[in-house]
Amino acid sequence: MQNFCAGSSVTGDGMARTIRAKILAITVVSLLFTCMVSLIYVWQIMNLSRMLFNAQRFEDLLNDILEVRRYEKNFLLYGDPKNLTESLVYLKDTRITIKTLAKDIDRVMGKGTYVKFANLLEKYSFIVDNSLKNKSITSEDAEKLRTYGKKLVDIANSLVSRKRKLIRKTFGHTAAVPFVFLGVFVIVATLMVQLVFQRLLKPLKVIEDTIERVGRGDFSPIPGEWSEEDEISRLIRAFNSMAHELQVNQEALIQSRKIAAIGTFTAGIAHELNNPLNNICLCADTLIEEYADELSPEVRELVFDIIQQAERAADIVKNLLDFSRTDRLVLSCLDLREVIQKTYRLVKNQIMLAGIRFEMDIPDDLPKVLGHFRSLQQIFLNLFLNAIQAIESHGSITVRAVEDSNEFIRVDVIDTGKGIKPEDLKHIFTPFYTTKGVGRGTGLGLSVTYSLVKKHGGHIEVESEIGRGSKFSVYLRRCKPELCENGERSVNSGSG
Amino acid sequence: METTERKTTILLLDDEPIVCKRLKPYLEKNGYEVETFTDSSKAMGRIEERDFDIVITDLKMEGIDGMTFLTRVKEKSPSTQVIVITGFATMETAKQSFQKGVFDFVAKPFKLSEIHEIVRRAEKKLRQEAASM
Repeated sequence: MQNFCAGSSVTGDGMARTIRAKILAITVVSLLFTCMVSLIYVWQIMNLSRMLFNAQRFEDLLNDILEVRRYEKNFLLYGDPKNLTESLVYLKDTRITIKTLAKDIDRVMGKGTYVKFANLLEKYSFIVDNSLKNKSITSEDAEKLRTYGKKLVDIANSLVSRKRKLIRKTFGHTAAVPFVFLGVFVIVATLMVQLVFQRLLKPLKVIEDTIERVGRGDFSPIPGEWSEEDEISRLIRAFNSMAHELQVNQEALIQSRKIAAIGTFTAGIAHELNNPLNNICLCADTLIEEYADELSPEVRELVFDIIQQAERAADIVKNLLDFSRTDRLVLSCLDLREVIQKTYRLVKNQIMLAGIRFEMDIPDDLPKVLGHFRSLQQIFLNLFLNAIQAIESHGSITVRAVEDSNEFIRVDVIDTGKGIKPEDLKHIFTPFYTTKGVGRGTGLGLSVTYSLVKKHGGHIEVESEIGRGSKFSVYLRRCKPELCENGERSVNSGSG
Repeated sequence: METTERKTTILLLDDEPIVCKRLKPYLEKNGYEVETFTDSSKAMGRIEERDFDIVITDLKMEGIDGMTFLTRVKEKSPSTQVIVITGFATMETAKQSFQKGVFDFVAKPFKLSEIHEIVRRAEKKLRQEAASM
């Protein structure tokens, strides 16, 4: 037998969808059912015992009537009135008995049976009384006495047999109760097992497999729809969002480690390269300075090419050093508008020459950002230069700044250039990854931008569509007075 | 404006021989008296013997490094103008150099004309300081 605890009833909205509520509901229903079945059982047993008691009394009744009839026979055969006196004693008993059993008789034999029985008994008693007074009986009365007596015996007999039948029937019903109970138990148990298996064990197995998978570095979410409100669905949704966060963090971690490792490596190389580059520059420079007059135009061109190429190499080295620079930036509260305008001035000529339209959409009341002026300038300079290169003929560059959240300000640099291929998109912040032709880019610009944005405590995102253009979103921290290191106060109402 | 009196003296220290070979004749041609060293300990010995108006030094070198060398130069002769040339210019080294009283800080690679320009400014400062004394 199951051990049901008396549970509280299920209340509250939305709770019915949880597994807890379902189990509780099944338990409560089962408990109520068990109580009901038990009550029926007890009632049946009590009923039976009462029926058995009554059956006994019916049998007593029958026996009394049979006694009465025995004295009747004796009187009719031998004529001894003493028999009638005895008969009257039994008749009196019988009368009392049927009075107490009146209801039961009606129930067993149908309404009116008691009255009929009592009438017969009265008539019978009347004849017996008369005969006792007269000490004899007429043949007519004797005939009546026999008929009545026979009828009384018939009724008592059928009372007993009907009662027995009823008892057998009730016994049958009572015996069926445990089977009904068993059947319901089997249904409830099946439901429970089904519920636990479908809604708990199966998803748990899926979660177990997924956790193993995540352990191996595969962060794809648990497949399937988990939009319901039960515990497991909520768990799986939480798990999926955790896996997503892990993946994002893992990627960011790998990226920053890669950059740190390459940074150390490149810093060493860059430094070592500067000395020979300096020597090349100095030698070529000396050649021009000292022997300019003796050189033919062809040779002069050669020397200028050497200088130009050495300078180009020096630029690459400078980029490498910028990229690998690990010194912490001293951040202060800056007016983003000013940063963008000053950066724009650096590339104004290039933008105009390329026939590009430049738009700036920065609200006047934009809060100040936390940044290092020259680094911010470099971040946006790199993005502008990329945009200029992406726009092959005419197009536009839009710089838009909005408050992204309480913490960040988002600066979008949107170009209408040729866009970035999806397969390139995830590599664009990787050092030396370039989609530009040989000699057009070092492949460092965006990784420098990336590491500078990181040093600002921000992050950078990119969206791009081939043929439509790209959007780089730089998230910079909003200026909060306590974060400023130079004590400059940030004022929300812009000062231009 | 060249003076007819004594020439401005320059000590150049760089472990790269080419820097010395190129700068020495260039600066001499422009009217300076130049001594070059590729070995920092020898240069150290030389500054103990005499003072120079201007010292041009690299930072990263074998043995005695540039920072130690220029510190000693400034100790012995505070009026000497020191110009640092370096292949690895970081904010840190630049800051440190200026704290030691370095006149200017030049990142490699540089051009002859750049060095000449800085030397000229250092010379001007020397003259101003001499005049105010």
